[in-house]
Amino acid sequence: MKVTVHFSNLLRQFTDVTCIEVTVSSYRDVLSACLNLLPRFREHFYSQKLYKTLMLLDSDKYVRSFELDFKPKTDKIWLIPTVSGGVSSSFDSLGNLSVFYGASSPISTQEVALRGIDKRIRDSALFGKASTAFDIAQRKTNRDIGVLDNSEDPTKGFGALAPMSASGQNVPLHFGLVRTSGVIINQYIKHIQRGGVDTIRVADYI
Amino acid sequence: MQTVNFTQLLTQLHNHSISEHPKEACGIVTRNFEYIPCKNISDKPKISFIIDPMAILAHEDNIWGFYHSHPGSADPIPSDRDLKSTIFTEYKFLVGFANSVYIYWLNESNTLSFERFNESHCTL
Repeated sequence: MKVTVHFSNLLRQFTDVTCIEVTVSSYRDVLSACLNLLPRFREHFYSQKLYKTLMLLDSDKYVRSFELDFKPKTDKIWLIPTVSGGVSSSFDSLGNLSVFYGASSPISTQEVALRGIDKRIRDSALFGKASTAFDIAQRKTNRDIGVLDNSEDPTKGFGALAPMSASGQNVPLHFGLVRTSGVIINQYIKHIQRGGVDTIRVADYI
Repeated sequence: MQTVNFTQLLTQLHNHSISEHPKEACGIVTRNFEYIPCKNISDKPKISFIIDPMAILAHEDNIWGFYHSHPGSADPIPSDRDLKSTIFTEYKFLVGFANSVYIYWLNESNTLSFERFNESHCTL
């Protein structure tokens, strides 16, 4: 279908145009078309990490990452940046944001490779349908929680354990032996087996 | 050089950060140094924020900068996560909680710099 991709003022410094008309079959095609047709946008998309700030809007609805392969609902798409951040510097917040930043899927060769590893883990018999992780404890520095503490030793960078629960987040599991400093998984992965729900302990498998 | 009502702006930032607590408040500071509270569309608004891009679209010709809060922090300095939006160097970025507000920016070495937000930062 033919769609018109509009760019906000802020993005026009990178696109040089206000909009482009492209023929696409999915939201992913919209992003690919922008990257292919607009070299300066492509350059900034990667080098300035513009992808971390972008969102796709179909009419007035945000396109989420799992909708990237969906067919656009209207012929008017907006590619717009937003401003984000937050008190947390833990991995979960980035995972959270990536829900919105569907446009950021094809990022770099390194991340594509990581996505491949992640997919292999998810496709394996053990983690085939693991979808929920919880009871993850992380060490945070005082700076992470927004407290300036001059007595903190910057070479250590660890504060008190901060228990947290997260749903739908990537779990930092690796093949082989991994020494962790800042992230500790202390409980379980909820593992959905065929025909039922089961719970396994992470510690049994790493 | 005309200075804006700095105290009034601080009051608006203060009130929004308190009213949204324990969630992160966020909003737009216009070129007239008026504060426009925006919706935080993050899935985890207690630890992160995403300013509703529709609000940015609606005011994109009249934006001086952006504000967000670090709820409950006595000294709310910017976090590493706050760095990524600073690629838009034409805007100013504020972070704070209650009466404590910092301004932060991307410096020449691509790292985050910040200092106490004061009246000299906002002149027309």
